[in-house]
Amino acid sequence: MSLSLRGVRMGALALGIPGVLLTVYFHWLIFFEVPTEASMGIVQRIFYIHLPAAWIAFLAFGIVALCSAVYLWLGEEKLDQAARSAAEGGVIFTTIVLTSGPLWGKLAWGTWWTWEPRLTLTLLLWFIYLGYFMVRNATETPERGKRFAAVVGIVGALNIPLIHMSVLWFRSLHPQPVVARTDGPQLDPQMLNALLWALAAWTLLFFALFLLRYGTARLEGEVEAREAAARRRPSAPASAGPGPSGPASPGPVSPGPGTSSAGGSG
Amino acid sequence: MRAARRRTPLDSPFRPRSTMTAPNAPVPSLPGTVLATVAAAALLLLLPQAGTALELSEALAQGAPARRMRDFWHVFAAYAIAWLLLGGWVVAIVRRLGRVESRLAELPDADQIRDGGRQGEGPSA
Repeated sequence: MSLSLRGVRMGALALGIPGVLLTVYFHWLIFFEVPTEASMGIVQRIFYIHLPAAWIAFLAFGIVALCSAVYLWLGEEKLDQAARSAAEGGVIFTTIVLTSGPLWGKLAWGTWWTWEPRLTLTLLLWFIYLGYFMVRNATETPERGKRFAAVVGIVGALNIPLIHMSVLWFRSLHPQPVVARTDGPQLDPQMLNALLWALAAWTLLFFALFLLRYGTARLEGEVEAREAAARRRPSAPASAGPGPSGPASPGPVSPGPGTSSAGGSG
Repeated sequence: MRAARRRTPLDSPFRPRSTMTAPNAPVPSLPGTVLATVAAAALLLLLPQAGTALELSEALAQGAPARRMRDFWHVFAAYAIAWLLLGGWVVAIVRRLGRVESRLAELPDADQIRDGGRQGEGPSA
């Protein structure tokens, strides 16, 4: 086996355990240390999961775009597996953004949802990456599906800078950036501290789960390869002479057993 | 009561399905870690209520308006949904990993397949 499952587990644990500990710590900060925001009250505490989830979703989709671009260039299977694993995480974290946002917005803005640019583009991002998974299974061959999905993964990531800049370019109900600003973060130091711990914790958790998912995808590839090798094995003696050309084209080489068994049963 | 007495360690609902269906498959050690993670996540689900307990108790003592009580519920719901989604992803990955591991244990290695083919040819040749 080319991939060490033990290595993947150890890596996931090495990232996951500090991630869980930091998560407990940032929850402590959020609910015991950080002061309550003056105008919005306690509901502002949703901010500490809403913003990190958005950042990690963008990070995940960035990984998808990068791996997809290199996959289209080099055609290496593991890059597609990495892109698919990151896309799963990206969809999970975008779902967190899209559920925590309305819960905050209902009390802050008086509405669950409004079709303003940032919200609409984030929803579009979520749909694009749902399409990323759908397009994989909607093609004739898996290879074709992977290439189409890679294109969707790259195109979807073009939406990320639009989402970030939408509050500056368009009139928006969504607040202006408070952390990623050219003139520095405009946030209470305690709030900023809790936010950065939350970001660190979820980034570690994301990479732990991404690694575990990627390891699983590699093992699934290994299973498929072994199953394909086991299927080719009965026909191997028939084409034992040329060798390399035999397994590459199982269809034309061994039409006999399939058709004969079908004919026999009929 | 009777059902509880009859339950053996093999019937434990926490035991991975793959080991129940295929007793010879290697038992993955990861579910233990995952259970600990899920337990930590459950603790985190309770933290928002525990952490805001002082404010909540003050609000209740002062006869807080419905709007204020709704704030607590929205915060709790946001954190609960986030942790349920993350926990769901963890469980999905671990179940998938368990399935793949048991499937991999059933299949011969690629080298064995190649060697097996040659061995199969050997005696007949």
